[in-house]
Amino acid sequence: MPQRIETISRFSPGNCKPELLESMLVGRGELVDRLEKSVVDSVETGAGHHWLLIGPRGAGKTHVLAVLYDRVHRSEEIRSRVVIAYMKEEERGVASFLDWLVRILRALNRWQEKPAAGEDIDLGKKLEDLTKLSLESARTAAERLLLRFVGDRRLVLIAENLGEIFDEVKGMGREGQQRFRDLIQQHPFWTIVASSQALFEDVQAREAPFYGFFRVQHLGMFDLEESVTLLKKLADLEGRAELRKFFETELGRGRIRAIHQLTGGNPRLLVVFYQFVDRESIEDLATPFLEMVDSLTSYYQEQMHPLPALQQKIVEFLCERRVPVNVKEIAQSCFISQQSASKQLGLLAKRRYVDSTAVGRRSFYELREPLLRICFEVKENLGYPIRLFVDFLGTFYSVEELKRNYRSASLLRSIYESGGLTPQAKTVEMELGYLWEALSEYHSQGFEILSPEVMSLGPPERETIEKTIEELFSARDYRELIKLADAAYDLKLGGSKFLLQSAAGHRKLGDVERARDRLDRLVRLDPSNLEAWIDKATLEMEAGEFESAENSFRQVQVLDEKSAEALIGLGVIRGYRGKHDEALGLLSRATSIAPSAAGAWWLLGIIQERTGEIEGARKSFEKATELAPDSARAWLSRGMFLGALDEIDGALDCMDGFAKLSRDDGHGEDWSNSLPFSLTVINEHLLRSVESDRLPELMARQLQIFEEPLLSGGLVQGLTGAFMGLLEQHDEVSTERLVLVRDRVIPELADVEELSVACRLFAVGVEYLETENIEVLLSLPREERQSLEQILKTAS
Amino acid sequence: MRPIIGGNVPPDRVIGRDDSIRRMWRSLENQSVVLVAERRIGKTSVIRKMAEEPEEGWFPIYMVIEGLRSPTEFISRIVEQVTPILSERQKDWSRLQRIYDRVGGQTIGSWELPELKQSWKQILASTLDDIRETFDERVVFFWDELPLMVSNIKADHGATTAMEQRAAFFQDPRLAREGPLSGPQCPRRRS
Repeated sequence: MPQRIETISRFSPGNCKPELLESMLVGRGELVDRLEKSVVDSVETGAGHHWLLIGPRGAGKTHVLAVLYDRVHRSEEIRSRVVIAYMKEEERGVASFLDWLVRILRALNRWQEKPAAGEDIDLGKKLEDLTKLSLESARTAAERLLLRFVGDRRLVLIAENLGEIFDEVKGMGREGQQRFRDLIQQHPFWTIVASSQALFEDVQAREAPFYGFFRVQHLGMFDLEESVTLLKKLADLEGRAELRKFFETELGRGRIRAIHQLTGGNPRLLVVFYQFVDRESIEDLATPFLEMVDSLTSYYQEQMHPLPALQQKIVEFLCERRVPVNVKEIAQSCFISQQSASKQLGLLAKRRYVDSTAVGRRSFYELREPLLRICFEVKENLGYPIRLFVDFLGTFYSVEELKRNYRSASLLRSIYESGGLTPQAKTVEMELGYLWEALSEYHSQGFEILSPEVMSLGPPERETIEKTIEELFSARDYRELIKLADAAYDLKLGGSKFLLQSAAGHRKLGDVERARDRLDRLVRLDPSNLEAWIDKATLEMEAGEFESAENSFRQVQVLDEKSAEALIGLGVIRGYRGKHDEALGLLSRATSIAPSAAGAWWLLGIIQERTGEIEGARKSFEKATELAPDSARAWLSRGMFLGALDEIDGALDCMDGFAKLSRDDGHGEDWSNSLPFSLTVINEHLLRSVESDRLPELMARQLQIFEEPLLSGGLVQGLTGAFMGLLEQHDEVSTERLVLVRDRVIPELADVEELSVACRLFAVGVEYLETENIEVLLSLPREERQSLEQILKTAS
Repeated sequence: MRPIIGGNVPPDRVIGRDDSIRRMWRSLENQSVVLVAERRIGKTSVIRKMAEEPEEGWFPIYMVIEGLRSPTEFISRIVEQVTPILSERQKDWSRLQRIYDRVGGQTIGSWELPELKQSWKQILASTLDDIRETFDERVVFFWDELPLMVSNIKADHGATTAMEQRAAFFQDPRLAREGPLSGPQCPRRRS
């Protein structure tokens, strides 16, 4: 069940469901595995493993600890031998060792840990009793209580912000640390996994009690690939298959790259910016972006607050510059000496506010988190575009996208102004301002667009609007297209064509209701509008409303009795209804009226195939690909036809043609059903009929044809379907053949992780059919075994 | 084998110190021993191994004393470590109890000794007497981070008390053959 992204808390993953956090682990899986193994080793051998995770805000420390807690908590292997003190993310006010002991005991109570066997301890009551003792007595009593509670088990302590807990002023200080270390050494049942934003004096200074005590692990920011993986997981979580596919396209990756640049790869912020990845229009982007910035402001201001004034000044300067700067320039601009600048930058680097890059003998510094700028940005409501959003636009969109958006926004503003719609015009004005800034800042070369003031030259020409709309349609910018078309129609700047264009835009966005609404309006206003009726009929047919579609196509025939579109549409509907003879007649007429309509030919081919007219179908499919060599659909259909005839080489040639054409920028046709189905058919025939020597070669060829991420999923599903199909039909396929397929084909797919389950099921299924030994099935986990039994129809 | 950084190392995973350990046991026959080394070398692991695998005829008492801040806390820690053994051997803190009977009337029931700042030397002496009565074996104290405790006492109670405490223990004739094995910078005791 897809989950909405709100279930992932932006700032407190400790509050989230454990399964969710485990599934969202990116780039940290290995670390958590190691931590888990350390805990198990501690339990089994008595060795004390202590870890300190270091990472900036949002790097994922809390996430890692939460997953570790869950794994240890659920571990059947060691659970009875550990007790877990899972401290709060922020344990404020730990002023002494006694306070720390009390917090640990409270954590045990909060997580309902059980006392050691044979001990009857009411922790809540005991904690209350402590308050009645003197300080010295309370400390001793608290220690004794903890020892009794833990007994002979291992105490796993999970604590965050350890630096603050140890701090001399804000924490328990050196005295408290010494007592704590005493306790750990005297009673070595501890395993500590802690975190901190940066290394601190109390673990780094040679004389500090906890010097060298922890194994330190740094958590870095995500690189681009890890960022992509994270966002894909978010899309999977929300059940947004289209968005996931979008991330695999060049455009999608480009968007992620822009976000990665802005966030510095901070995992927490990537989650925040995830909501913007597939926004199409600037308008959709601006308001939520600025709201997001507002919500992050206090978060970043809190980060700036503890810095001394001099360091704040340096950070502010780096925010303005936004590129790496050398020490000399920083010193000059901040009116401080170079030595002072160097020292402060060193401190800022230690605290992970800045990163440095050495170039020869010089060091250049830049902000580690670009979004720190939020603290210093002039806000939009003061009348200036917020620079952060301009930078985001400049990196998020290509120059062509920005220019196109700028042109359409200019036009839209003109339309609103000519119609007296001042508030709408002002909204667009804001959008124009951002686009102008982004273009001039990031794409100044070849920048020929005039200033917004010059563009406002009175009501726009209808031709200009139509041309812009067509441009937007070609660029697949449907949201902008709809805005422009609707505004133009509403303000009566043109005729029914704008309604038609708006309907087309909505249809492309999958908004059937709005598309239908526009078309219904149009045919009411203009019953003789042939194009409107054709679009309406096609929309109804695609929605499965065959009766309405038939009526609409008949209207088309009333207006134009020789309409090929109507013949094709009616032929397809007859085909869906199983009336193949009628479909044949209609489609044959369509091909004679419009011999160059490729769609008519391949549809005819499908019907001919169903009625057994194989040679007729062959010619029809060939004609379709000849007439429309750029039609991916035509090649797919022909490929499936040839595959069903065991003409595998020809089928794969067609699939190669299909693959080359369907690699698009993520706005094209959805192949998520038709591609797997076609490949299942082709591969079922391939696996049954092709000489065994050629099997590996043909598998390798398919892996190569469909190596693009957008298409490889289709191949995985297709092959899975073919393997399972073969097992299902094992009565018709000889066991020798199945064994051959297993031995020749499965090894070729060993590197395809997504096919591991299907390959495993197939191999075990074949072995079972070969040996008739039911024990073979026991090598599979329960769920897989049940699936296989279902397929083979064996007794459970 | 998984490396252990900072944490407790079980005796069977302490590697390469057998010769040093044997030499130290030999030295203890005649005098106390101080183990001096840089931090994180493995001193605690070595003395823990010695404490958990003592040679025949020795009874080890291992104490981590870094966090202790007063003589009374120190004695309390000794009492804490030894009390279970007294119980097992059906002995008690008879001499120590007499002191508390005389001056405070409090019972040594828990490990927390009532603070008697002026009499801590007497209390220490009685504690050691009781220990001598209890053990037939030779007792060896393993003190981890002794200088840090002395430093804490000095900070909280003054240099005089710290010095006295150190002297009181190391010069006590009852420790002629029961010697402490300690952390860095501990003064060598004459045999």
